[in-house]
Amino acid sequence: MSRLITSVSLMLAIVAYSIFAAFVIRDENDELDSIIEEITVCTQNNDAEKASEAADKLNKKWSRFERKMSIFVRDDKLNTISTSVSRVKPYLEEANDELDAELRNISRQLDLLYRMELPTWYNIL
Amino acid sequence: MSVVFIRAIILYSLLIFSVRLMGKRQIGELQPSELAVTILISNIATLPVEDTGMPLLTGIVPIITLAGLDVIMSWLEIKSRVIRRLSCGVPIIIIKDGKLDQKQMKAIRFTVDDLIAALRGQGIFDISEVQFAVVETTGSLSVYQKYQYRNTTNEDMSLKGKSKNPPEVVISDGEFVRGAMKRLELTEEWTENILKKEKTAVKDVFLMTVDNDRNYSLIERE
Repeated sequence: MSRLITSVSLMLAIVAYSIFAAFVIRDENDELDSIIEEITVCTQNNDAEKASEAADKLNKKWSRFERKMSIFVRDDKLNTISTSVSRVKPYLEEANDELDAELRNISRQLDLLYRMELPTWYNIL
Repeated sequence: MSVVFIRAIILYSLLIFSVRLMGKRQIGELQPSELAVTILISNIATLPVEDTGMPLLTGIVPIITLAGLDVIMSWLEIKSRVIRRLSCGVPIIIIKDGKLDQKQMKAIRFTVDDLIAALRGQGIFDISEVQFAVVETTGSLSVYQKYQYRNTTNEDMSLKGKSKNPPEVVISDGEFVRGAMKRLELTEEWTENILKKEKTAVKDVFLMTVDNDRNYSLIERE
């Protein structure tokens, strides 16, 4: 009976941890998304200084988030986002046309990261 | 390299824990569901060790889940005969009243060679000696021989005597085995007195066994 209790407890712990992880990822994603939104608005308003500050914030926030996420997600998926995040600041400084596309790409990748954690039918299959 | 080393240690410990969690049944002959779990676990465990880009959790979570499912399944099998039949199948009788049931053998794809080999494994070289044979759910063959070929028992010979438990190890490699001493209701004092009589000490004993009647056997360390 103790084996059964241990097994059920461990499996419940896994379920609880999965739910907790999904919420953590969602919250962090929301924060990162709001920073991305801030960068977009600043660039549209031609406020380079504020946009640059927001880009720094995005880099810092992502570094912390990436470390947390490496517990759940494969390295290669995180590396793709890291590469995109690291391009934001240089693009801002160069006033590169691809900045907007890169920001959208980061946003989409983050959304994908969250969706991958959800036990949806498509993810399971 | 150190990451692989540490991961291997963690997963090794987890595998030992999982096999212990699944219980002793897992170590002996495997039921179909247990075999599936064992194969899956052993494969999953190697992935995060080989690939450091993969989070350790992606190995730990399925191992714990599979081991847990195995325990839950075993519990359900105890509770329900239907589930037991579904997951383990049923033993199949292939020899009854000394007659081979070829239909059943075909149904379970048990060849004549399999049968002869399994019989030889039990020390039976002539199929005509077999009265009854069953293919168990683990795939092993259980055989019941015809009366004239069965071993003579003490009862057949009308020999008198009482059943006794076998001797237990009470000192192993210079150390007391407390569990066995408790079962035999032995005290350290009694054991030490015996050792004194044998002019030896606990630390010099390689193996000492004692039975319920306090008959002992002693092997000293070389």
